[in-house]
Amino acid sequence: MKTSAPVSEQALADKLNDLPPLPVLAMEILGSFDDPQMDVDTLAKHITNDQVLAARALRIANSPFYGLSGRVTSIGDAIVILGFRAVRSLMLSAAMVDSVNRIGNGGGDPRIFWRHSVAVALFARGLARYTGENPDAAFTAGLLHDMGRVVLEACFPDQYRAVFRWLEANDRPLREAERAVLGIDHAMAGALLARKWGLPATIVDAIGRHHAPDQGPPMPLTDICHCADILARALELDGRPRPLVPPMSDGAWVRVGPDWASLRGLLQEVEWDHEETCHALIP
Amino acid sequence: MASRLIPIAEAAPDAILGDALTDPAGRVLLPAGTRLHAALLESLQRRGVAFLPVVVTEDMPAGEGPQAEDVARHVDYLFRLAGQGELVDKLRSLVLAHRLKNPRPGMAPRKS
Repeated sequence: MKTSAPVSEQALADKLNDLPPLPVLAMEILGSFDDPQMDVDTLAKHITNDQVLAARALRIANSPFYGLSGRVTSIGDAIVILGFRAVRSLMLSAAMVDSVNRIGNGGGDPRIFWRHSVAVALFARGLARYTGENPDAAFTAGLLHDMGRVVLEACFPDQYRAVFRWLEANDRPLREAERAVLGIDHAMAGALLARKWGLPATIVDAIGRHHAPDQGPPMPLTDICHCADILARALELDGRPRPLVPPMSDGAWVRVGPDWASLRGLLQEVEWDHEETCHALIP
Repeated sequence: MASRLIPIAEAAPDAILGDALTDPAGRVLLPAGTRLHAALLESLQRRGVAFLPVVVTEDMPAGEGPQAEDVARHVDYLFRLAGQGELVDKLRSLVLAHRLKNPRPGMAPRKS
């Protein structure tokens, strides 16, 4: 059932030019992940200078998730108490959530969208321990993996409503509906925006191939994002009305290599942390 | 005390826990006999607690919580498009075991 004209990649790329850019601070934080010479003091100063984001970070640091209610009154305190890596990670997460929210809401209930994204982020961070990937980068990739949904809804609202009508008539994964109606899917759209924003190539790839990790050379972060998405959907932490686990890649599972005994612990860990993380991150 | 597992949203504000409420790691959050109240229920919901083992009262017959076969049917429904193979089966089993131990609302049996 094709209900509207397909969208070309060029049309999408043109639309991306109208979307807000990624804040400079978020780029600085992202760039610091793999920089052993990172100047902690400078980055901390930049964080403090972004008053809106700094206030948000303090709210998160004082949330029940960190158990520091009322004890963190400045970014400096937060760095001392939580450690620089934790502060950097929560600042980036807050900046990313704000950046995606400035674009739109994904064509549905924004709460469902973010609850799923947070679940994938938590699973990705947990799975990173099996492959040795940077857990902060994995969390970020998980948090952003579906941002293409927001892009498509914001750029092509009428066509995207047709995607949901297609889904009402067909019990199939969202990606299939997007391809049937639009000719492109949210993974592709998300990767295009991630590249435009200058995100690291590994995160761009994870966003672009999280449903198809075998279409191209194996990439650890992409495999992690795929498995994290599967696990998040299996636990139904987002509350979507017609839940489903999307098609699984055996290859990605084998490459990530989680042992089943510890995976059971990860399910419990994520289910336990999910509510508080959502409370902290979702505005 | 006879208790029944009910969705937290259905728990009366003054209900009493018939069994200890534990977190996924088995740590006791609230002992059996705790009387609930609105703020406590809200706090538990924020922590992701989905079901509570409350004392059975006369108008609340025991044994109506989610049954294993209902949970299994729901997990099968969840995995309907996941594909086939050993890994999918293992993951489905893992999720089923998790859900039997940690039930959530929305696990009502689905009629196909």
